[in-house]
Amino acid sequence: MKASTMASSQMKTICAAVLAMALLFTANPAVLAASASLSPASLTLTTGQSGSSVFSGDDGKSSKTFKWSYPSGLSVSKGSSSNLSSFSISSSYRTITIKTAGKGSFSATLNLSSGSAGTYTVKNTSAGFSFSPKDISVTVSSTTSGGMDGGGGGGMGGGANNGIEVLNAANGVTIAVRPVDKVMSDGKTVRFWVFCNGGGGGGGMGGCALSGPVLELGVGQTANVTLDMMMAPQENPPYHGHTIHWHGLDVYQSEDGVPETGAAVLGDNYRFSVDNRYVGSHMYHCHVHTVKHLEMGMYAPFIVKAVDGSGNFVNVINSGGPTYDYEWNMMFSSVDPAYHTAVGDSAVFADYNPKYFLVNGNEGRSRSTPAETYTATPGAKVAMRLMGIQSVNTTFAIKDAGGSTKSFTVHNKDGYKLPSTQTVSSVDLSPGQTADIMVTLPTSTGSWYPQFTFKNLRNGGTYSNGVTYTRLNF
Amino acid sequence: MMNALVLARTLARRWFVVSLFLPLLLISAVSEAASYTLYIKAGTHTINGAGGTTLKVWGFTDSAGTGPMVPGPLLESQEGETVTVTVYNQHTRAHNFVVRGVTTDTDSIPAGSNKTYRFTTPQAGTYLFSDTLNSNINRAMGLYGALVVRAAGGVSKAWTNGPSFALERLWVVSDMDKLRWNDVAGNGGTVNTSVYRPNYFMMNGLGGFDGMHDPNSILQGQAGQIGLVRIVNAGQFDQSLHFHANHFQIIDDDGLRLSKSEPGDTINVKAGTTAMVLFPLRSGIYPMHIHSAQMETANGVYLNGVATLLVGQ
Repeated sequence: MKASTMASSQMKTICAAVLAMALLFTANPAVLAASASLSPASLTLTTGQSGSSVFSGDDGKSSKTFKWSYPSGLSVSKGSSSNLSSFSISSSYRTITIKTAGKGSFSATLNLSSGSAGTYTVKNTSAGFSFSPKDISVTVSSTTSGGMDGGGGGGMGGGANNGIEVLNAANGVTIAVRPVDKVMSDGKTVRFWVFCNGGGGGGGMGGCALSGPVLELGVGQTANVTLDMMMAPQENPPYHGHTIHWHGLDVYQSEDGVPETGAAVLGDNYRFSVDNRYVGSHMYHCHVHTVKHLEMGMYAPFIVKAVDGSGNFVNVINSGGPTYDYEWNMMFSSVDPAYHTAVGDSAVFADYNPKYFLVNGNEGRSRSTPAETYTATPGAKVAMRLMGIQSVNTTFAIKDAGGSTKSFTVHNKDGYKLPSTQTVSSVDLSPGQTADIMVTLPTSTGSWYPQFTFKNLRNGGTYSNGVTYTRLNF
Repeated sequence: MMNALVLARTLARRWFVVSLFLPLLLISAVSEAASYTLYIKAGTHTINGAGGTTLKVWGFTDSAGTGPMVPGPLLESQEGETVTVTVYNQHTRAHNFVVRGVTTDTDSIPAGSNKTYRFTTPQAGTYLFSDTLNSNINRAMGLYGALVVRAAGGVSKAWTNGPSFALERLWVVSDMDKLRWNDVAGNGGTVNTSVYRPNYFMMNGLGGFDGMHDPNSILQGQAGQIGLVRIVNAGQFDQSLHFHANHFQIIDDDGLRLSKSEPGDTINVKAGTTAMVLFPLRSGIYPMHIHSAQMETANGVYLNGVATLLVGQ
């Protein structure tokens, strides 16, 4: 509620002015006739079956942009296309963006499928000119029996790729804290405390997982996040309660989430906005007795997105930077199980001996058992957001199936644009650092293996089981 | 007459002496500004507050009559000046004195003797000095400190024609393994250097409870002012310093001036290296702390590790 009220009211005034200008421009009638349609506008499929719909028409020789969003559970990929200047699908954000080349007739084929029965709508969210039909209705029925287990979990799997929920922080998000027991690769169980999307109201916290939900915020928009302490696991005083610290977002002291400088620990509402310097990867985490609470798993990605004139997110790596087709959040951490059972001012917290090394909450000790598998299309530009909440040093690299190192380009460090991009074969990330990198995938199919090597702070030696892989299929 | 003769001879001798040293005196008047005397001693160092302790240390001090200081006395100079440091080894073991990247004499100073080092500071910046002998044990016992070299003329720039700043702080961060290193070496035993598990982490020799109250550590000024922070990691562990409130610009990475400064909110200063960042103060009180678990603690007590405050008014 606090300090940013004035800033947000100013922002509303500015937004209104921008909107008025946009209306003035769109009031001019199009000079050249332009038309388009989606065909077919409805598809009937069985689970696992793929179908197509073609978006085609004539752009009147003027480049136009069209966008759709689609629900979780539906997989969308690019098919053939003609006379487009860009054609991108973000599976993390479940958006389709098509920009025509201004050459007259154009077409774009969308391939659609789902593993779960249901009705899905690909909904047009913006258009360079009005057209019809503009949405696709996809009805998916179960194949035989068996199929996905139950369906009761209700799509908590999130998107087509990593299963972590993505929430818009400006939409009024409520974050709860819940215990989650994870069985590690050696069979031992470790208790974590994780942030959960508690905004569903009522019942099940079915979606609670390590890491917590990804929060996104558009530049100039106001985050409105409530930490709900109801039923939260916690320590005894003086380390009771929790907060959220917006790591890297440079918010006001009143929103900083640090108990020692005045933050409430029994629940709080956080409001802040950031400017376009912050487009990129940040994090949020608890700042109460952080030596324990971070280790317990109270962390998640926070991504600042560039926005267009209508306030829609734009897939650029930083303000003025290149576009990407996919974005993949990878938050990595280390786990010393002794820290999970110790409480208070224990001497256990003087000595850190990590046993497990996670990416997005999972171990991945070999390429065949990656912490996470992500899927993109050949030739796509993929942004990888690397967020280090570990307590030891980490070196990131990308290997191909033959073990060769693939270079990549670093655009941002700690969520800030670098003065010049750096094309490198590895990047070091110490505790609390982030980097936004980009790769362009080969045009033929294959797999790459992002590799996180966890190193001790004394001499850089790699920990036992200290290499964690993820996998990128294309 | 006799008296006159003696007087004349004396005057002649004095003039001879004066004329011999005159050129030297003139030169030294131009270039020699800083002269320091350091003493190496064994003693103790106390970290206050919960989790704190008294550690056996070996350290430098600037007074023959006092115990060791951790970190050692601050050495200051300006770009291009000649600095003279005389080191008296008042400990029972051999030691040395090396300014990293500046001096090259690593020979030991035997117990009970002394040595004078004279060097010209190559460029403005922040340097670690330490005892480099004994497989890092001597440094780990507390024999370290910082040399700060400022731009010529004492202007508030990181170096001549370099970026400007309004205020500056020096943060010498370090760690100590009380049980396996300080207690053992301090009692004359042999340290097993293959194991180092520090349980004390210091900001300018202080635990965080003091570090967050220490005017020499707290970066405090008007909101909008640029603070130059000189970071020296004299410890054995890499330290990942996280700044709340604002991003900084890294202008110097271990003595390498960056032609394009890099932004960050967290900087990894590797063991035995230095860095300089420019931090624009924001209105409010914010912490700066290490982001790796145990380094926020004193023997496990939260916030009594490496921490201080960033205060904008």
